[in-house]
Amino acid sequence: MRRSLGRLLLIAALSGLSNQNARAHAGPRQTDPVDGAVLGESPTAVRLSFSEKPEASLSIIRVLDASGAACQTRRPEYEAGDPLSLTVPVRPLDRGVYIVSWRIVSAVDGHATTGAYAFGVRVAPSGNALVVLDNPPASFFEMTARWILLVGLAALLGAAAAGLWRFGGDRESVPGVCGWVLAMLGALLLADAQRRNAAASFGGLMNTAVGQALLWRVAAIGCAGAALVIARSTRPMVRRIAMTAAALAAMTAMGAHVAAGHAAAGGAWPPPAVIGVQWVHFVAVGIWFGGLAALLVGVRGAPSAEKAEAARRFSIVAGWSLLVVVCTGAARAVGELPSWSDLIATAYGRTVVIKIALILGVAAIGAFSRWRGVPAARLNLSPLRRAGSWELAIFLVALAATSALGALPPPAALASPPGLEASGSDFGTTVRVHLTAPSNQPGPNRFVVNAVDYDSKTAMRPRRMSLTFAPLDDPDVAPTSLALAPGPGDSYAASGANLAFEGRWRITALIERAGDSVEVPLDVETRSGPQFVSVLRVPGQPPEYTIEVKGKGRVRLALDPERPGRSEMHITCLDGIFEDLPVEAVVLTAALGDSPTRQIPVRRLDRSRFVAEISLASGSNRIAVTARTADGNRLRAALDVPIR
Amino acid sequence: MHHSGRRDPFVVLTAAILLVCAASLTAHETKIVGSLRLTIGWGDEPAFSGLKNAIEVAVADAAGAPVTDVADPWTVEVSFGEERVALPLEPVHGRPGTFRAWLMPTRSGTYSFHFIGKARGQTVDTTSTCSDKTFSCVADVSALQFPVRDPSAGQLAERITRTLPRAQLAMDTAADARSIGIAAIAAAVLAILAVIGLAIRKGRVGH
Repeated sequence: MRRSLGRLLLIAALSGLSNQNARAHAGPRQTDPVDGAVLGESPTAVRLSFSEKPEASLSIIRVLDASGAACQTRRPEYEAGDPLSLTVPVRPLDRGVYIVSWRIVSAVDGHATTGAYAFGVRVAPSGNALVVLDNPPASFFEMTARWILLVGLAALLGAAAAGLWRFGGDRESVPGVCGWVLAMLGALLLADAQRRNAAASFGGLMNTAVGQALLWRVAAIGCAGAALVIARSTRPMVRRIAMTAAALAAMTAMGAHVAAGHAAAGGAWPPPAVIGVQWVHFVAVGIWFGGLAALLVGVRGAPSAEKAEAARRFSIVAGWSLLVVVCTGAARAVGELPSWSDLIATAYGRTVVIKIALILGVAAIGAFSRWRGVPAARLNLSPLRRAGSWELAIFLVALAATSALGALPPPAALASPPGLEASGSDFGTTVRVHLTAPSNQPGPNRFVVNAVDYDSKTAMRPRRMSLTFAPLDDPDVAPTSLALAPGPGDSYAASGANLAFEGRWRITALIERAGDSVEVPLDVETRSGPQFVSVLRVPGQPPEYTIEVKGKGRVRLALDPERPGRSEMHITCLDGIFEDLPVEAVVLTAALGDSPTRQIPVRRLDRSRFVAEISLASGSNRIAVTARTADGNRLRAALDVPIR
Repeated sequence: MHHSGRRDPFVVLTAAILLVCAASLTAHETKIVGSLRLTIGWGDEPAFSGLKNAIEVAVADAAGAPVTDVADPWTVEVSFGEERVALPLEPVHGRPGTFRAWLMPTRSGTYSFHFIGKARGQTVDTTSTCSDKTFSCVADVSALQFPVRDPSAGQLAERITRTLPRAQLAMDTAADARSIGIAAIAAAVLAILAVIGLAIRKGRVGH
């Protein structure tokens, strides 16, 4: 029994790692002009890209000059073909420093993010590049609204579950009605909180994805109410169907709530999978918590065999619910907490810790109920009721922590986008160079270079420093250069869009000293978003990987055989309808196992097909194909092939 | 090591063609000095470190006709960082109005040419610095090397210059370590002898 209790506690602790809502809060991923940029001439527009889709109608981007006057000429609009980016056109800008200030409302969950940065036209904005990102503090009102909504939905679903699994006695409609009232109240309060968040009118909010999600929730809760009214019928069959409908409506409302929450931002998995896991988690919590409330209402009065049997049935349902909560919660936690230190270092993490403690408490009392209260229920219901009341009270606090999590930015969302970093030295081993850039995506970027003496590690202040950018996979593209200016500390920095497209680049840092110069080659790789890959595995044939290059075609790779050692790679370029795509040249690169990326010679088979000999290594093999089509398009497909 | 990586001939050929094309675009800088028009640049553009080149200036009048009657030989002061060298300019055979000074740039980077002279009674004292808008800056020659990219003599010299003190330091450290090791062995032997001595003494006292 002790072992079972320990197991229960462990399960409960793991379940506490879950977070009801995660990610969200649209963070900036790329800006154009980049922060700290010094432009030779006025830009025509300012473009900001975010980690989540922003709600254009509720978002504000201001471009302000030194006097604070607005320079943008229109409201933000979506960049053509890119729903993650907003653009505002600006009037011709004179020489001076300009501040870009934004307030973005996420179309995913309605949360606002604010920030600012500076760029200059023919003048440096300041010694330091300026980026201020701020997530407005979580609103207590919103957290309360979420809490009421969650408690209401859980009570509603639990009451319906109690009716279906017969552990709520003959009074299951009481918690059901209470739950419905709370859920409707919570939904309305949440609508008002999100309206305040977005600083918009109700009408304006309802025309957005955030408003639509609120309507879905209210509609589903309304349906649940109608089902509860029908459930007052005395006919058992009608009553049962109505309770089933109420449960389904409550689950739909939960689904709408989850789909408009942090889970919708996805993460390590595609958004539908994350939403699915989160929804199952919510449903399990609802059945557990709401079912307990219904049980406590149902076991009022003198003990009886029926009540003892109801307690036993609920105990089984609660056990299964706990298991589901643990599994789904653990899955969500893994996806949303990038590191253990985030548990202490962030408000979100600390809230998760509090929730873990509370869930541990609930699990401990639940275990006591299961092995003490339920067996004694036939003669004495007091232990069961007392333990259940405590369990319910702690559960309510745990749901409050959950609501706070829904309003707080999760660490995964606040994590900086992956940047570029490279280090190297010249052949003469006189200088060590470290280059960083805030984004690893092609397009505008800010390059910061630190050069130190190879032996003494003291910072160098060369007369001039510049970078030359040469694409390694596109020999027909001419290199470009970028002069660096002294930046903060001992660094040299400049902004530019020299890394124009996805792929491998050689950045050569030219350091000019008093009467000498050295060149330091640095290799980096820019990456766009993940590509859709489909795999076809037919027994007896090599597996085929088809990688979609958005809007341009597909690249199909087949490895024969797919195991460590020498292998033959077949490359086929296809258009949008899987017809052969004529290709002028193909560059194949591979990072096999731990070895650095290198180019692999390819042999042409026909106008669309190529073959290469490759030596696969155990572990991860990153293979990238860059093809230039006859009509001038560039297809780049990258694939990670794990070899065992 | 990046200097020994083999290159696809297609890549090298294309890169070379591109560099030549780029050179034809950037080419030389044209400067108006009074009634004279000077066209300034490298004899071979783009310029690469370690390859023989020349500083060239073509002198023409406002109508574009070559000016050959320069008073005294012109000079050009070439500067790279804090290094400077003054070179006499000589007429180029078969290209009237064009003067050059031979030079092999040994480092890639930014070079400035300061021309001093007289022509048609007009003093010329003008400076031109390489850039994207003037003439080409000097690039590392390794971009043209095939099939193996070799380090330049300058790079090798730097490597050796840097490596010798490191080797000396490593040898000194090894010598120190050896001395410490010998001292440690001696101390250990003494300690063992002391322990043996104490044990023998204790044995005698026990008896």
